[in-house]
Amino acid sequence: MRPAARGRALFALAVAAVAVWSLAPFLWQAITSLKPAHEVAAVPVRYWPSTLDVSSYAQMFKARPFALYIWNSFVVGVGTTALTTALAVSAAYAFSRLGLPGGRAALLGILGLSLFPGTVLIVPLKMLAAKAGLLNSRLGLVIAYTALNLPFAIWVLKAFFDRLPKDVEEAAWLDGLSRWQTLWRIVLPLAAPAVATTAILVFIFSWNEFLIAQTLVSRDAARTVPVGIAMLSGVTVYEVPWGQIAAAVVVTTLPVVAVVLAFQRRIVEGLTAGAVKG
Amino acid sequence: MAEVNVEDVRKSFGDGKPVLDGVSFAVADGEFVSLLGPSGCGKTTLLRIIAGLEYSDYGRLSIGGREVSGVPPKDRDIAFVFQNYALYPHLTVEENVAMGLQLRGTPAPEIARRTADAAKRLGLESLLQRRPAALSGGQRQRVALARSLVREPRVFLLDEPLSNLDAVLRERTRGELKLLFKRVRGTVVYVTHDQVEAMTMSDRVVVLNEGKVQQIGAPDEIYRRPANVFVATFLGAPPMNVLRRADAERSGLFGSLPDGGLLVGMRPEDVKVGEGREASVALVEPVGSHTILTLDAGGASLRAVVPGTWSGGTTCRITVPPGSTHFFDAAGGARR
Repeated sequence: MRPAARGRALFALAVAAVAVWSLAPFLWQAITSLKPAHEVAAVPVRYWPSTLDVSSYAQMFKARPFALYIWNSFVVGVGTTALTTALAVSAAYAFSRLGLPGGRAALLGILGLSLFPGTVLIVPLKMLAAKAGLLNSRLGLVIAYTALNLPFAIWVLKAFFDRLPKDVEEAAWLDGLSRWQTLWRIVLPLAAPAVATTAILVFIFSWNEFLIAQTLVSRDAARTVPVGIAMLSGVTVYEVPWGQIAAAVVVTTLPVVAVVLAFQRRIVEGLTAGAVKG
Repeated sequence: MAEVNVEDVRKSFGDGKPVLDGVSFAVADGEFVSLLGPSGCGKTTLLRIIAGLEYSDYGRLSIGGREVSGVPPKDRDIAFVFQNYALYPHLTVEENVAMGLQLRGTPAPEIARRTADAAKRLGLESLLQRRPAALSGGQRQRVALARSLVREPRVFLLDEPLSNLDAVLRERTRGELKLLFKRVRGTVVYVTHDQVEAMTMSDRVVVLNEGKVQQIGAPDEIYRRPANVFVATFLGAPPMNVLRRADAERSGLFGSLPDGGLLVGMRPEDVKVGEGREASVALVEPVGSHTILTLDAGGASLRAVVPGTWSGGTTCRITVPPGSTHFFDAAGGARR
């Protein structure tokens, strides 16, 4: 084998190993969701179901309004991502380029805020939401998630903006673009990879978040998927409906995978189109 | 086109040390003026102040008779060519060139006509649909020039536009640029640290050092009659020989010298090799068309240029014709 070919083979092997390692839990969930009820917790373990049984999926949608939960998660996720990205892009650009007095202190303050563990914020958040009439509302979740994600998003985007060449923006001003137009027409297209990466991470955070969603929402109308999964229960306290839970995990993970894949293509596009130097 | 007037411009950054310390000069309508100086002399800052990308702390600046100190860059009617071209990487060549016109509300047929015209002038017709990443350095540089030409601005400002090109391309582009701006009768302020560019392209050169104007004049004038030791030694390759009075007297090359603390300068090509005082050859640097000799004449080190290759061995005889010496003040370096 030529060294290059051997290198490629080893690389592929390593990628496969990492993929199997990371995907094994999900694979287990997927297999579990397709087992007949009596095989789910059978001892000794059955690795492969005797027959493929999709009844867990039907039961899960019957037990809880999962279509609504998925819709709620989607609305909250998209809302959070849009709001966070819009605010973070403007803030990060201002921090990076305007030389605001006290800008550095403000940035460090933002970083400091993000160091608070989420659990500390739960009680104040609940009280604030109650006062503002945002309990049991998707908007309440969007606002809370945006607040939690902004520090991270601002820092990531600012770091990226700092690396963009200033000359291009100056050329834009000389051509007659305003600051906002420069940000919109010149900087954002160049920053597309960073913006897409940030957006993906914010969306995943929002999609998976449990604690705040559980605290601020107690009705199905605004309930999101992670809480919904936790609400799945058996006939008795002692019965855990593993099959349904596994089915719910599969159903609710697929949209995230789809979103990430869609954005990932954009990232690659952004990288090739950007080509600032070369 | 328009004239540019820079009057007593001062600028310092954070540490208080002035980058520009009372700079004044004027560029006439249609004139090509170079700002020449070593790195850190303030020439780029000065250009950016003219463009409006930086603001001066003090001084006046007018373009076409209008005071523009407080006017934002886009309203100064200037075009700026950046050292690294600063093209929009996500737009095609055509979009890059047309952007400035679009933002000024130029009608579409007019944009198309002017873009095509600029592309033709710079040989970019076949590249209009490419993105900058798919262009060579020289092509990008031409796109940057097209972007400035298409605007038909009153003044062109160029910040070391050739410094990112390889030597061969730089040499060729130098001539093309000169012709191009002559043809459009552009008022040009051209920043460079390369004396050859400044000498070959400019109508006049402004020599800057440490934020101060050292001399303003036609290329020939600043070469023939440098205003001070800095200009004398900055221009010319190899630079002018400058001897302290004691060394000059010891060398025995000069007759009577004027009184006082003195530096004696002579261009290497003015040192005549063949007859006269004996000197030892310390170093021989063949360049091809000529050879640079580093000589020792009575303890004074000086360089001479002889045509062709050197076959004269380790000693030679040299004279310096009286008319070709320059005298500078030992204290301030000013010409006497």
